[in-house]
Formats: sequence, C-alpha cells, structure tokens
Amino acid sequence: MLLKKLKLTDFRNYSEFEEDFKELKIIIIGQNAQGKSNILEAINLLATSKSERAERDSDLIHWGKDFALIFADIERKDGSSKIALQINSSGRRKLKINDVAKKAPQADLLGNFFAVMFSCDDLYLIKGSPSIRRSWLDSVLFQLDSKYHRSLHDYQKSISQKNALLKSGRENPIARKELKIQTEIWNEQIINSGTEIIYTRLEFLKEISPYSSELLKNISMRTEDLGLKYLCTINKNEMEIPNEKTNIKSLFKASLENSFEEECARGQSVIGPHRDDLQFQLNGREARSFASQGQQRSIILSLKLGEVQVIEKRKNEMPVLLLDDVFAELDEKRQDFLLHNLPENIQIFLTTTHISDVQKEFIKGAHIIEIKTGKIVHKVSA
Amino acid sequence: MKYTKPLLRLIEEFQKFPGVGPKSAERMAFHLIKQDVHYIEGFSKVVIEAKEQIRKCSECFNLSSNDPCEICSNSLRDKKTICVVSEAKDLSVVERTNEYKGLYHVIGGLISPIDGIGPDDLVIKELIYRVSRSDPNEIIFALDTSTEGEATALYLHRILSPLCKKITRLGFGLPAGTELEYADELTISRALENRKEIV
Ligand SMILES: Nc1ncnc2c1ncn2[C@@H]1O[C@H](COP(=O)(O)OP(=O)(O)OP(=O)(O)O)[C@@H](O)[C@H]1O
Ligand SMILES: [Mg+2]
Ligand SMILES: [Zn+2]
Repeated sequence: MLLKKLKLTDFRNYSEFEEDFKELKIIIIGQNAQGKSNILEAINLLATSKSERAERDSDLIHWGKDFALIFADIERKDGSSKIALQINSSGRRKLKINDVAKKAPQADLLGNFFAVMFSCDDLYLIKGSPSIRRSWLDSVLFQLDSKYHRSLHDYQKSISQKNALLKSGRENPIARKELKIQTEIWNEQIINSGTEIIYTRLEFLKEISPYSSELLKNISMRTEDLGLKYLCTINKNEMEIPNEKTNIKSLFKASLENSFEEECARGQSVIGPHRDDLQFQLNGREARSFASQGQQRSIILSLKLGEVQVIEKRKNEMPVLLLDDVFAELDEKRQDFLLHNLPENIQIFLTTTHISDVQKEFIKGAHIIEIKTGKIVHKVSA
Repeated sequence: MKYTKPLLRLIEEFQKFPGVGPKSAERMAFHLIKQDVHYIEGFSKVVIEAKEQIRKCSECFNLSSNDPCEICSNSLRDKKTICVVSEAKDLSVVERTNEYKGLYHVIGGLISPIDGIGPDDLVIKELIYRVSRSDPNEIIFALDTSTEGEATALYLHRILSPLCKKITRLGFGLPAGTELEYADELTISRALENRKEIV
C-alpha cells in the first residue's frame, strides 16, 4: 500500500502542505519544532482515526482556524482511493471516501489505510503507564478489526454511565438493592462489549508473539526470549485466561459480582479492559524492571516489526511505516537490524533533524523534503 | 458586527432550541422579524394555544389535547398490548408504520446517570401500576439501540417480568446505536415484525 499524495490545510502548523510521493522512502528533515512529526501524525490519523498526541480534535486545527483538512490518495492492491477528512473545532468530523460522504466518520475511516508508527515516544511503551500500552493495542486493533472500534466505543460509554451512577450512589445513598439493579443494567453491556475487547486483544497478542519473539532472538544472537502477557483485571487469581468468548463472559460476570462492594465504595468501575495491562517479559522476567535501555529498544523494535507483519498477513496489504526520530535513538547495530528486516515493498516516512543520523544505504533513492515552520523549503528527488 | 439588543435576545432564545446552532438561530430570528405584525401575533397565539391545550394523557403519557388521548380512547385498539417508547416523537414513528394496533406508554426519556436521569425521573412507576392493573398479554420495548436505550430496556425488563409473561424488543434491522427517531418506516415495521423476547 502506498500513500501517493498528501494534502493538509490548516492542520497543526501547516496552512497548506501538498506533496506527491512516488518513492518508497521519504525523508522529512528539519530543525526541532518545524512540523516533521505533524506530518506523520496526519498520516497516522488516517490509519487509526486518532492521534497519540492530541487530547482533542481541536488541538489538530491550526490556531485561530475553524477546521483542518487532510486529503490523501492511496494506492492499494485492489485499486486506489481518495480520502478527505475534515476535522472541526466542534469535535464532529466529516469524511468522504472517493467523494462519497460517510455517515460515521470515525468508524468508516478505519480499514482504508494501514500504518505502523514507531516514534521515540514508543520507548515509554515498556516503562510508561498502562494507558500507553492499552492505547497502542487500540491503535493496532482499530486497523485490524472493524468491530473493535464499536466495541470500545460502547464499552467506554457504559463505563462512564456506570461511574456516574456509582458516584451519585455514594453522594445520595439509594437502597443497596436498587443500586445493584441499576449497576447490573450497565454491567450487562460492559460484559458484552468488554468481552469482545479482551478476546480481540488476546487473539492479536497470540498472533504477534511468534513474529516479535523471532525478531528479538535475531537481534540478540538468540539470547533473548520475548514474552507478551496480557494482565487481565477480571482475572485476579491469575488463572489462564480462557480463549472462548463464553468463558470470558462468565469470568467477567463473576468478577463484577465480587467487585460490587468495592466499586460502590470507590464510586467507580475497578475492573475490565479499561484497567487491563500488557506485560513485556524478557527471558521470563518483567522487562519493565530488568531490561537494560538497549534491551528495551530491541523489544520495541521487534514489536513494531511484528506489527508490520501481522497487518500484512491479516489484511494482505503492506502498511506504511512511520519512523519518527527513531534513528537518533537506535545504535548502529539496531539501525542495521531495522533496515535489513523490513519487507522490500514497504513505504517508509522517516523524520530526522540531521541527515547524518540516517544510514547512507537508506538515503539512496529516497525522496527528501526539508521543512521549516510548516513549509517545504527544499526538495531532493531520487 | 454586533446586533442590537432585542435582536440579540431573539437569537439567544432560538439557540436554546435543540439542534439549533448560532448560525441557524440567526437565520430564524431574521426570518421572524421580516414578517409583519399580524403574522407575529398569529404566531404567538399558536404557541400559547399549543401550550395551553396540549396535555399529557394520564394513561399513556402521550401528548394530546384530550385525556385519555385519541389512541387510549380508540375502542378498535388492542388494549392488551403496550408499546413502551421514550418520547412522544418515537410514538409517532411507530404509528406511521400503520402496523401496530396496541397502546403505548411514553416514559419520557432514557436512563442516563451522566445526565442525572435515573428510573425515578422517568414515568416508570406509573407503567408498573398500569401493567399490574391491566394485565397486558405483551409489552414491547421500542427504544433506541444506544447503550442508554439498552440499559433502560434491561431495567424495565427486570421490573416488569414478574408482572407480564411476554416482553419483547424491536428486533432485526435496527443497527446498534440507532436512534428510533431517525429510522425509516420500513425499518421500524420490519423490526416490529421481528421483535424478540428478552431473556
Ligand atoms: N494547532 C496548532 N497550530 C499551529 N501550530 C501548532 C499547532 N500544534 C502544534 N503546532 C506547532 O507545531 C510545531 C511542532 O511540530 P512538530 O511536533 O511536527 O515538530 P518536529 O519538527 O517534529 O520537531 P522535533 O524535531 O522537536 O520533534 C510547534 O512549533 C508547535 O508550536
Ligand atoms: Mg518530532
Ligand atoms: Zn393515552
């Protein structure tokens, strides 16, 4: 899959940006804070419908403007398509695909374009808070599974409703029995959508594990073994998580029963996939506490390359790879590894402040654009 | 440009209407002040009369100028079936299909703790009373398929199942997240036909 053209209007620090990409390698160079990451953010938004950096849609709009536009021409195996996304300060988006207006701009965007983002921030995946790891899972699964977005949306809505109920139950006590009934009407939906979420995440982890482990073995001269463990809050006893939906459902139901008093006391939902986490293990030990800086980088690298392979396998389309400032973070050995383990026909967008950070081999045949304060100031084509 | 005070006030009033943004409010205000005084007088009268004459039916809580309403007092309707809807506008959506011959009950909203709406804020006690008194053969929930609609249906089912043997929901054809108001007649009548029992 190729991104053939990108046009931005009033997106972040760009008033206008327009560029054709015929090449497989695109290097975006520029000083700090000139708008390199903003371009990758726009591309990634087309794939995941969300931004990892923006808290709300209005952050994406050029200051003082009412809306931002992203246009993209995409070439897939089964033909080409045009995406036009309008981001409004009201938070409501508009989407056209091949000039046809879509009803659900968030959900209908997904599945048209695939991307894997690898930025220096991803190093926090191991050390950072669980929400960063959940957000990573979500951004991959939005692309892989068309039902996942809907499930997550319904789930989050039911959780907010239930939290509001539990909170009001704490402030103006109502009869325990009545509170229980009212909690259960949300729990029932939480169990349904939550089970979908847990199941989809588990299936994905099962799928990516062999790829990423093999990659890590190869970087480490077969000395390091990667484990991905889903930490499920509905499963306090650390039993094996069932891989049948009906079994997940009954486990979920039983755990919610048991947590009712605690949830009432805390005035919020304490278990479910919104509290779950992912643990990276290196040779059976928690990477978070035991992996060195270099080992952590290797794990993330294996994970991202694994992500490329899973998307390619499931969708039969090569995702676009977005490398944001990663070469500065990787030593020569890992840079080499990255470059030599990429599929041949993958399109890569890479940002850097110094072209000298990029391997000569990569620069060959690349399309290079230099960015300064939201404008292209220089171009070199192969 | 800033508008004169009375015009600004008028725009503000229109903006309080559901679904009306600043631009539409402006257009509506301009439209209104362009009309002559007789029209405005007539218009105000229509609004006042509507407010004075429209009441809620004490049986089903539909809006009507008669109590009981036209539907509740119609002897041809099946008194043993009650269709529960959230708003009067949803009732008219089901009516338009011409398929449904029973009675209604308008509960006046959906359970939504975020908006501070619990079962006690809806016309649910009256529904329980009505069901225990009239012993219907079937109760149908025609509620949005949103999480709030779903939660309300589950709640009502809990409360009503000891009182009525057959409780159904509009079925097939209504995708998740549908607001009844926006579904077309064909979809609704198909959903009515395919209603399923809640278990
Ligand atoms: N909504 C917005 N409107 C206008 N400018 C914005 C907006 N959001 C961010 N910016 C500006 O965009 C710039 C940051 O762009 P970006 O993150 O792409 O930088 P970068 O080139 O990747 O820099 P670095 O090398 O430091 O990562 C900042 O100058 C910031 O002030
Ligand atoms: Mg950057
Ligand atoms: Zn009536």
